[in-house]
Formats: sequence, C-alpha cells, structure tokens
Amino acid sequence: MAQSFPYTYYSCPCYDASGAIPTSIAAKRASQLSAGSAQDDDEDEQTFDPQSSRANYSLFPIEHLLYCADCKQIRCPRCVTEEVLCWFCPSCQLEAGSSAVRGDGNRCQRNCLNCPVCIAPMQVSSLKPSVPNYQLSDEEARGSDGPWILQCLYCQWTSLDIGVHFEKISGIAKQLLDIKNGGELVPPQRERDKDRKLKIDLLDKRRHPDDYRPEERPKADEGKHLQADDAAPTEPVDFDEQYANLLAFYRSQLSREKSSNDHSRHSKYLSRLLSATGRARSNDTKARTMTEARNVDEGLTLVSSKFEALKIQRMKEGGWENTVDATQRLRQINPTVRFSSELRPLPTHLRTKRTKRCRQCRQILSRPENKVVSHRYKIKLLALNQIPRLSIRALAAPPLPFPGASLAPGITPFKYDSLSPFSTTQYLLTLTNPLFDPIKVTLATPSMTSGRIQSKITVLCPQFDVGANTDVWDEALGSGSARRGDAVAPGGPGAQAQAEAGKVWDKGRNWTSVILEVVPGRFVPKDDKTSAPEQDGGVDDDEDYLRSKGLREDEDVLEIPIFVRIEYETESTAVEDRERGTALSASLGNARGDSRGDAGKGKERREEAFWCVLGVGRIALG
Amino acid sequence: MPATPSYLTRSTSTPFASPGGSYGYRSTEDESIVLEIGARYLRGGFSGEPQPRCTLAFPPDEQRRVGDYRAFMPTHAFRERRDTGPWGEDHELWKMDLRGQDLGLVQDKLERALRKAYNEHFLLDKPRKVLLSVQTGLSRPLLETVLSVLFGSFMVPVVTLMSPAVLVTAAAGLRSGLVMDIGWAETTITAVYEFREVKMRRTIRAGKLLSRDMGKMLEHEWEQHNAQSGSLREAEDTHVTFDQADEVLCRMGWCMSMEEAASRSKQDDASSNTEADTPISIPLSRSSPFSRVSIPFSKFALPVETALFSTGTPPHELDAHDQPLPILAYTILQSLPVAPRDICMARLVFTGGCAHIPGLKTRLTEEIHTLVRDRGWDAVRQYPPKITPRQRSEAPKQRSDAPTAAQQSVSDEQANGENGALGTAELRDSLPEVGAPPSSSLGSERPHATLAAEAKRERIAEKDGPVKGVVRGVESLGAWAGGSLMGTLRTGGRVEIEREKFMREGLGNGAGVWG
Repeated sequence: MAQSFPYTYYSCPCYDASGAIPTSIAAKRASQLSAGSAQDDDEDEQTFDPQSSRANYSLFPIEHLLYCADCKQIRCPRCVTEEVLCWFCPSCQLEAGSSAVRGDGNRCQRNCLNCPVCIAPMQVSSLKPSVPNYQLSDEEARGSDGPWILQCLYCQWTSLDIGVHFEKISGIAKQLLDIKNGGELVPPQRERDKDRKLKIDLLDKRRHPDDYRPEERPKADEGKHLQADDAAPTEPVDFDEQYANLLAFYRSQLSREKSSNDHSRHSKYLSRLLSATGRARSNDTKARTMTEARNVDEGLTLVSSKFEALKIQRMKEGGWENTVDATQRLRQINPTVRFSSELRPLPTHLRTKRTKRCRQCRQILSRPENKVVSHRYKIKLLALNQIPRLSIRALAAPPLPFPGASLAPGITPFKYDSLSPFSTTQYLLTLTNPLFDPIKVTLATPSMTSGRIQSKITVLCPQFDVGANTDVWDEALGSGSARRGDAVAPGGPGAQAQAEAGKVWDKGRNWTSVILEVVPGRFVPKDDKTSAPEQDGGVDDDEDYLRSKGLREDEDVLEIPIFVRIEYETESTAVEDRERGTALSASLGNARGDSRGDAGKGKERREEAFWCVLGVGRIALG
Repeated sequence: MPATPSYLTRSTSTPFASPGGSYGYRSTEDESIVLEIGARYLRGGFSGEPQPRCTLAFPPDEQRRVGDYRAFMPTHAFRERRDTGPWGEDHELWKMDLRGQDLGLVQDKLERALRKAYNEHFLLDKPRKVLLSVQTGLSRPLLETVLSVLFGSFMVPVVTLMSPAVLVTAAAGLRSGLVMDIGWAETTITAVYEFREVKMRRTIRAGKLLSRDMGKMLEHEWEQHNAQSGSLREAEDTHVTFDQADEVLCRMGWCMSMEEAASRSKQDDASSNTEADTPISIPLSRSSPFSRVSIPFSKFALPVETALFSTGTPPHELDAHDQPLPILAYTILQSLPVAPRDICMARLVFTGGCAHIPGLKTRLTEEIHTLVRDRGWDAVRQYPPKITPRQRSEAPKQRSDAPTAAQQSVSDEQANGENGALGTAELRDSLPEVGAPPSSSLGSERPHATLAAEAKRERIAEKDGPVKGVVRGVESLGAWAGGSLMGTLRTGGRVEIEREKFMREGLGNGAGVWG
C-alpha cells in the first residue's frame, strides 16, 4: 500500500445504488451468474468485502468525500455532477476563454509545452552559444535573437532531436503547428484546400467530360504534375491530411447530390410521391452521384508494401531505443507514432475549476472561487465535518505527537509491515466526533475477515458514547471530569493497563478510544476448500490458477471492514429534514425506526451508518 | 415551387465555413462526442476532428483506490509486478465470455475511464450527444452496462450506435469492403457492401494470443541468454509479465513478407540463427536495470507467424474458432454472392490494434491473393483422385495461352470487368488444378508492388466503374475517425437511444438494438 499503515478508508454508499438503473432480464440473469452479486437481494445485510475487486472503486479516504446536508449522505466523486466554472493552464496560471478552449483542443496556446518523453514542462532557450554577459539584464538576454528551441530540463530532450527550432520566442505552440518534424513547413490550410480542389476538379473533368462545356474540358497534358489519378502516393500520407481529404470528399459528394437533385427537381418530386405511396424510393440519383473515393486527394490510400518495408528497416536499424513506449505513445496527439523521431512536444492540458452538485438533490456541495489564482472556496461541504473520524494504531506502537513526526531515538517503531500470524495484536481505535452533539456509536465487524487469509477480529467495546465537539477551551479549562480520560484510563505508555471487554480504553472531549483485538491468520498455499471458502467463487479454472500462483497483490494486507452506526439528537431544522431522517432510518432497516425525538422540544434523533475499512498491516508470510 | 430546404444543405460546407481550428479542432458548439470502446482501449473525442482527444487503457494501475499512489513510487517498476490471473485479464475492460464476469466491475472500470476522459480531456460545460462505436457482436448485458454508465453518470441525452465495420469502411473512403478488425480477444472479419454488414466471421487469432506468443518467445530467448552468459544468471526468474510482452509487441513486433516466411520455413531454426540477423537488445531483466537481453530481429516476427497465420499447426488441428486470418478472409469472400465478392476482394481494409504491426497488411493482402489465385472460388478443395490426373493433363494446355495462371486469372477478370459474375466464373475455369499445392515460386515472382501496379492499370482502363476482381488492400483511418466523419457530416444513425426512454425501460426485450 502506498498509503502507509495504518489507514482508514470510507465506503461511499453509492456503490450498490446502481440498481436504480433499469436493466433487462438478460442483464440480471448474467449478473446473477457472476460471482460478486450472487446475493444481490440482501445487499444491505452483506458484509462489505474490502478484498473484492469492486471495493477499489467505492473506498475513499475521508478527505476526498463530500457530504450532502439535504440527503444526509456521504457523496463521493462518483455521485456528484460537475459543472465547469473556468478553464486555465496549470503551467502559466492564465485563464482561457470558454469559446477558444475547445478550438485549441483544450490545450494551452502559449509557451507551455510538456516533454514528450517525460512530461516535464519544457523551457524555451536560445540556440546561440550563451556568452555570460552579466551586464545584460534578464530581459535583454532573452531578447537576444536566434533560433529558439524547446528543452526539457529533466531528461535533456530538446526539440532539436526532431529537427525543430523556432524563429520567435512567443507563441511556441502556434509555431509548432506549422512545422513538421524535421523542420519542413506545413503549407497553410487554405493552400492545401485549394490544391485539393484543383486536383479533384481536374479529375472530375476527365471522368465526366460530357458534363462540361468543350472549353472547360482539360487538355491532354494539363495538370500532369498534379498526379490526379494516383492512389499509390510517393510518400506516406499524413493521418490528418487523409482525414481532411476524406472530409472534403464526403462534403463534395453530399453537395453534389443536392445540386443534382436541384437539376432534376421534377424527378425528385416524382420519386417523393412514389415513396409516399409506398413504392420503393428510387435510388438512381443517389447511385449515380455518390461514389467511393478513388485517389489520394479524395481520401483513398492503398496499402503500400514499400512504406511498410521501410518501417521494418527502420525498426531493424534503430533498435529498441528508437521506438516509443506505450505511455509516451498514448500521450501523443497522434497516438499511432512508433519512432522516437516522430514525437512532438505536447502543449499543456488545460485544467478546470468545477462546481460539484449532489446528483440526487442538485444541491451545491463545493464551489471554488472563480478566480484562477484563488484557492478559496465559496461552498465546501466536507464529510470531514459531518462524519466521525476513525483512526487506528497499534496499542504497542509509541504514540506520535503529530502524524509524520519522527520517533525519539531508542524507541522501536511498531512493524505494521510484518504482523506475525496467530499472535494477538491489540489496536487502539479512536473515534473523533466533529458534530456539536454527543453521539452514540455502535461498531460491528465480522468475526473473521473474508478471503483466503482469515484473521479474527474482536471489538472489545462495540457500543460507547463520544462527546460533542464543543469549544476547545472547555477541555482545557474544564473540571476534572473533562480530563477524566487522563486520570482514569491509563492510556500512557508507562502505565500497565489491561484491556477489558465492555469498557472504553480512553475518552476525551470529543473522542473515545476502544480496543480492537486482531489475530492475523496465515496463508496456506495448498488450502482445501473447507478452510478457505470460496468468497469470489468465480470460474473454477481461475480459482485453481490463483491458488497455484500464490498470493494476489495485496492479498496479505489485513483490512478490517467495520460498520459504524451513530445516533444523536440535534435541533431539528425543518420538517423535510425529519422526513428524510425517517426515510434514512427506515432504509437502514433499523428496529428503532420510530426513535424520532418529540417535535415539541424541536429535537430530532438522527442516525448515520456507513462501512469503513481499517488497514492495520501486512501479515508476514512463512 | 416552394420546397422544404434539404436537411443536407445545412451541413454541407460553404465558402464561408471556417477552415477549422489550429489543431484541426473545430470550435463548433454542436459537435457530438465520439466514443470507441473496445476491450483494451477507450478512444474519445469530438466529431470533426481527425484524432481522438484521448486514448485510455485499462491497466491495473488505473484500477487502484483513490489515494493509493503506489504507481508513482520509484520502486514500483512495472517489471516488478507479477501477473496474477489469466494472461492479460487485468488489462481488459471486459471479456466476451460473461460467465464469471462481474458486470458491476465493468461498470466501475468504464466509469472511471470515462470520468477521466470527461474531466481531463473533454472539459465540457454541458452534456453532449454521444456517437458510440462498439463491436456489433457485443453481448447485450455489456452494451446495457455501457449505456447505463453514459446515461446515468454522464447525463448524455442521446446515444447513437454505429457499427465499427461500417465506420472503418467510411474512413477508408469506401462504400464496400472486407473489414479485417484484428482486435484484442478476437479478429472480426466483416464484409461490408454499400455500407451494410453482409457477412461476419471471427477467429480467436488476435492480439491476446499474439502477445502471449510474444511472451513465450521472450521467455525462451531469455533463458537461452542466461544459459549462454554463465551459470550465475541461470537461477534468475525469467517470467515475462504481460506488460513486458505487450510493450515488446508494440515496439518491435513485425511481420515477414510471404517470401521471407517461405524461405524461413525451408531452413531450420538453428541455421537461420547464424545469419546476419541484427540483434536487438531489450531491457527485460528484473534484477538490474542495466542488463539487457539480445534477441535477433527476425525472432520478433515469429509470434505473428504462429499466432495469426498458425504456421506450424497442421490445418486439420484448427477448429472453427481459430482459423488463420487469410483462410478466414478467403472463406468469407467465397461465401459471398458474386457481385459483393468482386467489390470486396478489391477492398481489404485492415483495422484494430494489431493491424499497426508493420508488414502485416502487406502480408495478409499477399496471402489472400495467393489463396484466391490457387484455389479460385471453388468450394471443393480436393476432387476425387480419378479426376485429378485428367485435370492435371488438361491444365498445361489451358495455361499455354497465358504466361502464368495468376496473370491469366487477373487478366480474365480485367477483360470481364464490367460483368463480375462472368469474371469470377472465368477465374474458376481458368484454374483447373484445384487442390494442387500452392506454388511458392509464383508468389515470389509477383510481389505486392506489381499487384498494385496491375490494379492501377486496371483502374485506368475503365475509369468509371469501381475497381473489382483484383485483391487490393486499402488503408483506413479507423473506426474512431470514421465516427468523427459521420458525426460532423450529420448523417445520423440507424440506432438512436434516448436517455429518458432508456432510464425508463432499459433496452427492453423487443428487437435487437442492431436490428
């Protein structure tokens, strides 16, 4: 785990809400056949399985979650809709106008380009040998002329590697469009269009001389140089060029069909009448006018053995280093490049600032300020402020003054990476309450983890209270009872305390700690099916395959699914809130569903319930 | 007479139309999104643009939890990860075999990829129409999953379904053709005639098999390399992961021409090794990043031979599902009616990820040409032995008129070009030695270049009619570009699915979507 142990993940309830989308009987049948959803009917009763492959998509660190106050539910990035507020370049921090954005391919049109090899930002530097002249200011030094190149400061790739340099220092991305690799200039779009039109006209006149007046007909030797009748080009046709040719070809076909219909309006009228009376539509006009492309300028390119042989020759001579790897290729604007000499610097992708709304009730959950440079938010409803935070650490581990602090010398850190199987390890699970009301917490875990390594889990005190998130000064200045945690429950490293079942370990102003006992299991490679029940019961071949191959990635990580339910009383705000509360408690299948506070006091009882996953460490093998 | 302006008038270009944005991107607001979804890659972009905005794969590193950044750790090199599960399974979006497939997982994967496409590449401010190109043979639950993601998570108002074979044909500038989609799990060969799918057959000889064979070849070479370089290395684990095999295939995989393949099969493997074969050193070793394995360049062509052409496998061991590509293409052509066959054989269009392997298009064209030349269109491959001697005795007489049988077959068709039926009938008659082994010398005499020249001559000879009766390969821009063309020309689709209707009823149990 890149996330260092121990960690907590929260499961967003939307992962099983996909049933809202209608599926036909066929789909249901298929999903029943499939492994994970065999018991779809009682999804609520099911234990969350952190090892299932779908769990990766529904688990989030709490910092990534939002909270919809209207729906009273956690909202993950999957269950919000987003609206773009503004576009900007992350490199130069300048905003891009909404109209220009898509025309430029959502990329920065200034000097922001990324290296095609390592994606580091590239720098524009002069090709002239730089004479250190300290009298010149920075501006003057940059103003010095010279061909300019793009240079990657990380991997030293320069645009000279593909034979490209620039005349001006500004608008590099725009200049780059007009230069092919190797330095050749791309003729402007207008000229290409004109050229193509000329060739096609000529070809058309040759093919259908009867459609033209005698003086318009081409002479025998006219336009020989245009090679109008050749589908086997002398050099490979550029992808974009072929696309433009095809597009122009289809457009001309469509317009020709239209114009031919204009000429024969009567026949068209007739055919319309015919089709209206149920007779087959006459295809004559269409068949005559719509043809396929017949040469390069119309978009037809034949497979050329010559170019393919050239490619193979290049691969043979250039070897491995001459080719681009998969990630580099997919980043390119043309994702079919093969050789490193075909790489192009990449203009930086624009980023956006987005408003996030709850998908159900359309309430805005987060809205950043419009300004690009501002990092502030106008609205930000974080789950962090609504959902109790679970944190876990081994009891034996020395407490850190703050996360990430280094330990004092001499104290050995707890080894989360190698938990010894079959030995009891005690963990301290702390719940911190962000709400302004005291909450009642009920924890539930399966007694055994699922999967092939079965570990035993016991929560010593599954039901307890957590104090309200009152003023911090209450704790500091308060009476002894507020500081009872330190006095009564000896949580310090020096004290020899015994964890007792049914008692909380420690308690503070808005937090409570309980003990979690874990007995890690052991992986037995050749396990028979009785001791390792098939939890994903897929195709038998796969199961056998896995067993023979040993552990999957992260299968030895001990993760504890834990169901957290909190109950609290709060000031009721509105009638619909209460209704929602009832709906929520009903949906949870709670026996105490009628536990609404009496309306007279304006108090209301609320519930929240969600699954968490605690990553407590990696089990040592062997 | 007042007439309603044609729908097409609005879409055709005028002199006033802007020549397009700087990247060929058009800044029009009403362009729709074009998506092409396959088992390995998702391509997405806007119609009217030549290239997709993004091509996204489904590697395992993309499938991790939010906040799990191990893919970026310097220690997490892809070489260190071992494959678990069947070959390439964790790199694909879906399997065609729905048994044991968790549709929820497919939905999750697809949603994550699409979210990336929308949030990082499209940057839309309002939902757009989607033009979706998925394999026509895609099973219904999978199609439903795709649609439910699009409608449910991305608020797409309308999805238009397009058949990739038709789009590929359109992106080649054609109206008919034999589309060979050499994809991931299977190769689909579709005969398209006047933008209609006429016939389709598949084989499992495609990318997955190819990368697996590449992996095997690499493992073998690696072991040999270790054995040669000393005993120290022999204990090294030479397991080649999917990532490695896939990367080597994309970077160094190539395909021999027919001549090369024929000459190679004559020689022994051992003797060919000693030839002047450029060694290519590739980084494979896990132990130290600097040790490399040298492999002769010709070896990189072998997986293509075994996987796609089934060299080394006797024909009787091949089942219906794993026919080699040329045979399958020939079979389809044979089963077509005469007129479409004449048109389609002159328009072999290659697409799919593996079609980018250099040399493969040429090779397939050559192979199909040889098959057609040697077998004609006779469904009977072997006549009873009684007939054969008589035919063989007659054969030289017939052939004495023309220089070679092949030229005769082509020229016969040229002569009868205006009548396709007659042309193929003549072709069949002109090849009496049915069942005779294909002579490799003819193949080497007539490389592809002459074929193309011949095709050109034929085209010049009859300018108006479409080229037919010769075997010819045509380049296509691919299904995505085809979708982009169709989207911007507003041709509309046969199948349009509206969001409201889908959310209410699903696909329903009525007629098929492609009906």
